[in-house]
Amino acid sequence: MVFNSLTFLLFFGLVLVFSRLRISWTGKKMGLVCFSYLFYAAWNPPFVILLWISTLIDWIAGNRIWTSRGSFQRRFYLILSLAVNLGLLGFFKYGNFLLDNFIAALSWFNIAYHPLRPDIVLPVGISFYTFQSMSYTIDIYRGRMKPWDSSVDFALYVTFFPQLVAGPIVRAVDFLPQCVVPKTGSARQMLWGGILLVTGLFEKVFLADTLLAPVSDAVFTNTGQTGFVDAWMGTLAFSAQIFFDFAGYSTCAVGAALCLGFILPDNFRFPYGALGFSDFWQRWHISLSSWLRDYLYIPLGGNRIGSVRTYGNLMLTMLIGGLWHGASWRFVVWGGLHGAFLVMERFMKRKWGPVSSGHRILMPFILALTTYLLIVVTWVFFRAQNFSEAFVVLYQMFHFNASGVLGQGDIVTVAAVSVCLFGFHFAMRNRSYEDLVSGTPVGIRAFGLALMLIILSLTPGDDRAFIYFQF
Amino acid sequence: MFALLIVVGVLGAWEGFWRAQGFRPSIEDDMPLWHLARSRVSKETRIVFVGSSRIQLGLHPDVVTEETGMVPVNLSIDGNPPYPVLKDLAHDPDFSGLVICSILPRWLAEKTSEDDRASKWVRKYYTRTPLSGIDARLSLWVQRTFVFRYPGLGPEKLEKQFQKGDRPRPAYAPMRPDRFREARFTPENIPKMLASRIKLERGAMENTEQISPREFQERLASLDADVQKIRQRGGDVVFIRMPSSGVIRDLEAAAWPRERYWDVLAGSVSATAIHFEDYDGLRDFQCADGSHLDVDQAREFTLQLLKLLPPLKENRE
Repeated sequence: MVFNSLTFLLFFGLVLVFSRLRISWTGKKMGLVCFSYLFYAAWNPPFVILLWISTLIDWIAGNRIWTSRGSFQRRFYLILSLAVNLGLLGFFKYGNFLLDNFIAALSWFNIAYHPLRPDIVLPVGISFYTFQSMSYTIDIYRGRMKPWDSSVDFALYVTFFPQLVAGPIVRAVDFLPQCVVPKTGSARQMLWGGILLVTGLFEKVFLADTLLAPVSDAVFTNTGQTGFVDAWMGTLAFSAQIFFDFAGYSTCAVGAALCLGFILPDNFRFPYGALGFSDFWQRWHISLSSWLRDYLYIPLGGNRIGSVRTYGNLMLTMLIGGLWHGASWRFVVWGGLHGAFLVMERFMKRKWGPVSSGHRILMPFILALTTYLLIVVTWVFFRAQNFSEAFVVLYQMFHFNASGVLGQGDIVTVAAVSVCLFGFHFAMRNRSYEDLVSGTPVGIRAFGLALMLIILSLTPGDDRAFIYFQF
Repeated sequence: MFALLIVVGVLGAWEGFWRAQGFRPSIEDDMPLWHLARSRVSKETRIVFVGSSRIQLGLHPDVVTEETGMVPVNLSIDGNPPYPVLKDLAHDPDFSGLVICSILPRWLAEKTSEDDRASKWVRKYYTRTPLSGIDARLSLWVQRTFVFRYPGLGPEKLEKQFQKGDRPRPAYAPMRPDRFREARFTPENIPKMLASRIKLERGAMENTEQISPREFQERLASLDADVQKIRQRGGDVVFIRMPSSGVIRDLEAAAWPRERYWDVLAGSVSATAIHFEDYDGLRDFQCADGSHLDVDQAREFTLQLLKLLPPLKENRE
């Protein structure tokens, strides 16, 4: 079930009614778990079993890690949790990728191997809930938290429907304590949650799917006929599309959870206004980047063991982060590019110190614009269907060629959206969306909300799934 | 609350404005609606229409129901070849009815792609989610009720029309929930539609990649295999060449001569093949845009066609 569907509207209405019933808090939490399974089963009912496996194994492993006295036993249960979660992820997400690469490697040695290619369907959201569930056992192993005493709370933590399929990846320490006190969304939470839901849907349905996706599709499916302007516009369109698509989903998730009284962390903080790549990763998909930092980069040694190892750790973390996005070398290259930019940034900061902020606006603006344009270029590998398509688009971006497939209207639309998006993110980089809304007069706020609702009602939309569902 | 009042007020005014301009609720011809139609094909289904817009506008389901008592399922897909849908029905063990399959001359000669809409819709039918039917029905209800969900009145479509200097007009062939499209040509829209149809046809002639003679033979063999599969289960297939007229018919005849394509198909497959030029009742229809029948012609054409279909005649008796 996707947020931008009429079925979700019905479903969410039912959940809200249920959350207001006069039943025990435990009963409500069990109900929310059941609703969450229903939400997930709407894609493919048998895959609910995977959720049960993750939940059950991590619940048992968490308890055993805590109660075991010997380090061997503790390590065994941690490895069990990692093996099951990463095993599920590896089989469903990377099975065919590994097989293809194995076949390709054999062919280098002139060994022809043609096994049957298994028909594996990727369970939606598996990258998100396995990472979330694993963080619970790792935190217990590290002694950062005690096992939770309620299995219902833990099941709700793993399956809570607003964030189940595309994040934010919530930490147990942030979510589970919210399960202690009975919750019903207050009037203020319902209002703010509703505003976030409408904003997220507007970003997804109108901005991402209706305005931008057709332009990026037109460019990336006709790379042979596109020119300089098309290549830039198509890539800028995708840069804005993926932001509105993913941030739209996260905003809906935070809004839906808030309507039920739960607080989920922000996943985006005006990323295209970032001053440099390390700043970007503190603003883009924050729950994943902080997960990779805490459970991969820091355990690898982080920046504590010399500059060369730091650079290596950064690269490795970003390469794995790239691969997390999809079973393709294109995502690895995308992650590698971000890793390389992070390394260069770190190197420059060490050599010359932070960029002088002598001019309050100009220097940050130049830095933000440079960061934005470099990020835009990296998206080529994310959007292209294969490397040759990516290289054609990159070539066109840096060689002037007047031919084109885009109409003037599309070019003006993408240029306007991109300028507004960058300008807005730059201006808002030290503020939050909540600051902006609460600082706006009530009349203008109501008008803005009404405008988004009207545009949503008039926009037919299409069957385009959220981009991050495929991860 | 204030925001909701604005929304209700603006949508109400928007609805009233477009209704006053002659717009009535219409339905988007999209994949969820096609999937809904496809899910209606069962053991009991006796007639299915397959093809593109010519059959979608040209065969009137009400006439079929009035004459035979059967409710046809319309699985045609605008602008797409019928092969993926026919193959899908051939592989559906539950289906044992009659397929009326419209084939345009260009579909016989053109290369097809796995990425075309028909292939995609068929593929996605088997990976649709359990709730997709409910979602399609809800969406259908909203579209049948409100003009503000009219497919051509979305903000981005209006903006594109205004850029071109056009005014939105009600669709000449609005869609019904059963996927039949009732075409009503008017003296105002005919010249523009004919011009755009000619441009489209010329574009198809110049730009499409033609298949080789060997590929053509393979295509015919594949079609015949599909026919055999359906026949083995007690069903049947009738291929039909829907009418075209004037410049469009001349262009089609020049680009994809009947002797080279249609006649070879008719001689190669074990199904009945009906070309409109061969039958008195079918040959005299003049298509206003050169390519499609209007709703009244569709009634008459369907009536005449039914007379040529023996299994239905028997059933009627």
